[in-house]
Amino acid sequence: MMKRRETMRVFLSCFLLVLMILFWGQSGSIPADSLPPSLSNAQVINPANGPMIALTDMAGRHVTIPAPEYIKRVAIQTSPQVLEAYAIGIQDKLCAVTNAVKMWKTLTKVDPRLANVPATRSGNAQINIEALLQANPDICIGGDLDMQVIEAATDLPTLHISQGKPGASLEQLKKEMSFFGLVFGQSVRARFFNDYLDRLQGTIKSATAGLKPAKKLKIFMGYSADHLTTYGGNTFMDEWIEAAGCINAAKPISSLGGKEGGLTTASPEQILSWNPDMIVIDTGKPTDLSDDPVWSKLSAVKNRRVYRLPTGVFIWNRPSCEAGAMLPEWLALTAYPDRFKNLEIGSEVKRFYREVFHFTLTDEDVRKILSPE
Amino acid sequence: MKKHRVLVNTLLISLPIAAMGLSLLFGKYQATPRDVLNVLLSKFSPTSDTKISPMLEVAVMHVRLPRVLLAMLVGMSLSISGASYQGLFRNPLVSSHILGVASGASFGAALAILYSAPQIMVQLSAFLFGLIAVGIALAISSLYRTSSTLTLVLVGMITSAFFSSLVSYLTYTADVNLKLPAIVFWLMGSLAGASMKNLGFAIIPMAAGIIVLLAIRWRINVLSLGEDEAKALGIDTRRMRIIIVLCCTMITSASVCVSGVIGWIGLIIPHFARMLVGPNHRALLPACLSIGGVYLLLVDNLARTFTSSEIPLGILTGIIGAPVFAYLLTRGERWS
Repeated sequence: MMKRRETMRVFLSCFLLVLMILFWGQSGSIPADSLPPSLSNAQVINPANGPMIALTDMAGRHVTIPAPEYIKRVAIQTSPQVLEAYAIGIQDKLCAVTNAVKMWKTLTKVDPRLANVPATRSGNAQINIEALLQANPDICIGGDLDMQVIEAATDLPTLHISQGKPGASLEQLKKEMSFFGLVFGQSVRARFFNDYLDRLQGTIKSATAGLKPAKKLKIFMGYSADHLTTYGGNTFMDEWIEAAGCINAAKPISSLGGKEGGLTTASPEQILSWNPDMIVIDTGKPTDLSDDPVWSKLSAVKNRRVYRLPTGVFIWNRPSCEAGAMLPEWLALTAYPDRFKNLEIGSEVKRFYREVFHFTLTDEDVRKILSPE
Repeated sequence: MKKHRVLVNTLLISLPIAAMGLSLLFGKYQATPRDVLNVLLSKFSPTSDTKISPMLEVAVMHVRLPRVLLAMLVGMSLSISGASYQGLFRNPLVSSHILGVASGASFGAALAILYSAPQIMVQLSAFLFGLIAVGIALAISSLYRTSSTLTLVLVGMITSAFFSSLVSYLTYTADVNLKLPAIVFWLMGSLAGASMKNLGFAIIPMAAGIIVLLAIRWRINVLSLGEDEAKALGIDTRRMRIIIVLCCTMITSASVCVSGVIGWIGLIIPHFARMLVGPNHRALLPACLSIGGVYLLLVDNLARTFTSSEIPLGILTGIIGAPVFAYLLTRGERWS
C-alpha cells in the first residue's frame, strides 16, 4: 500500500514537471487588455509613433506595420531573405539575422557591418527570443515556422514569406522582391531586380531558342563527397536547369517531401544509364572523377565537361536571389559557350554584383566565386 | 531431427550464394539477365565473342558486384558481432553498437563531411573514430577495480552518449543547406557509394575479425555461462573479453565506415538464428553469418530497385525487419 502511494507520488511529480516544462515558454506575451485603453500594441512597440500601414503578407495575413520611412530596425530570420534585403538596399536596417548568414564570408566582405549584427536564429524555428527582443526590431520577416515562434512569444509585427509552389521558384523570387519593395518603400529597386532577372531569362531563351530537345544538354548535379546527392524532378533546381536551356538528368527521381529543398540520392547505376552530358559537383576537383573507375566511363567525364559549382555570397544551388539569377546564366554559358559569344561569365558576375548589390568585385573575387577552393 | 539439421545447414550454405547470384541480375541499369551473365562469363573466358557494352560492364562489375559483396559482408559482420556481444555480455538485448562504435564512427564521418573531405577521408575518419570510441570505453573501464562486463557495458553507454552528443552538435553547426543533408544521409545508412575500393578497404578488417570470432566461438559458449563459471573452467575472461571486443569493434567500425549506421541487424539477426539452430555458439555464429548476410543483401536490393531514388538502408532494415520478426516471434522460439 505504502509502495503504491509512493509510486503514485513519483508519477504525479514527474507529470507536473513535464507540464511545467511544456508550458513555461508560452507565457511570454503581454495581453492587450492590460494596457491603458488609449495605447495599442503597435504603438507601445514602436515608440516613434509614426504612421502605420496595413498590408497582406505573403501568407495572406493582414498585418499592420510601421510605414516604410519609420522602419528603422528589421529582423530577417531566413537566410535567403537576408540577401534580398541587400538586393533592395536596406541592409543598414538589419538588426538581427540568421546564424547561417554570418558564415557567408563574401557577404561580410560586401558589408562589414554585418559582423556586428546579432544572429538570433540558429535553425529552423529555433530563435533566441530574448536576443531578438534585445535587438529591438520594428518588424520581423521570415518563413512561416520561424514567424510562428516569434508570434507565440512576443507581440512584434511579423511578416510571413511563404513557400511558393515547386516549379515556380523564379516567379516566387520576383514576388518576394516586390513584397520587400512594398514593405520598405523600395519598389524601384525591386522592379530593377525583377527586370534584371527577366532580361537574363530572355537572353538565355533567345540564345537557346533554336535548340531541339535532342540537342539540349543533360546536366547531372552531383553533390557531397560521393557526388551522388542530387535534385530530383519536382524541385526548384529542375526548373532552373530548364531555364538554362538544359535538361535535368535526375528528372525521373522525385524527392519525398524534400526537407532540404528536394535533395535525394541517385545510384551509380542510374547515373550510368542516364549518361549525362555535363556534371556539376560541389566537393573536390573535376579531375577526381576521371580517376574513378565508374565515373570515368561517363561521356561527361571523357569529354571533360565536369564543373565545380560556383559559390558567390552563397552557394548557387540554394534558392537565393543571387542564385536564381546567376545559376541559370552560369549553366547556360557553361553548357553552350558558342551560343553566348558576346557574354563572359566573369563580367556577368561583376555586373550583377555592381548593379544589384551595388558592390564592386575584384578579379580575384570573381575567380574565387567561380572556382571555389 | 537430424534431417531437419541437415536441411537447415544446406539452406544456410546455399542461400547466400544463390542470393548473391540473383542480386547481380537486378538493378537500375537496364539489362537483361542474359547480358549480365555474358559480362560475368567474359571475365572467366576472355576469348568470348559477344560484344559487351563498356557501360554495362562497369555497371555490373564496378557497381553491382562490389555492392552485392559489400551488402553480404556488412550483414555478416554486424550479425556476427551482435551475436558475439550477446554471448559475451549474457544479454539478449545487446547489439553490435553497444560500446559506442557507431556513435564514434558517426562523429568521425560528420567531422570529415564538415571539412569537405573526399569520400576516402570520410570513411577513414569514421573507421578511426569508431576504434577510438571503443578504445576510450576500454581504457575507462580498466580503471575500475571491479572491471566486469557490466562496467564495460556502462562505460560503453557513456562513450556512446558522449559521441552522440558531439554528432548532434556537429549537425547543429553544419551548414543547413549542404553539409547537414550530407551528414543526415550518412547517418541513415546507405550502400550507394559501394565500390571496389571500398570493398578492398573494408574486407581486411572484416575478414580478420570474422575469422578470429569463428575460431573462438566455442569459448563464447563458456563465457555465456557467467564470469565466475568461465574462470572456474579455465578461461582467461579478461583476455577473451578484449579479443572479442577488439574483433567486434574492428568489423563493426569497418561496416559503419562503408555503409553508415545500420541498426537492427546486430540485435535481431542473432535471435532469428537462435530460433533456427539453437543457442550453441558453435552453430550460432556461422548461422548468423549466413542469415545476416542474406537479409541485408535482400534489403539492399530493395533499397536500390524499389523506388526511383535510393532509400537509406537504415530505414528499410527496421521497417521490414520489425513486422517479420514480430511474426516469427509468434511462431514460438527456442531461446537459451
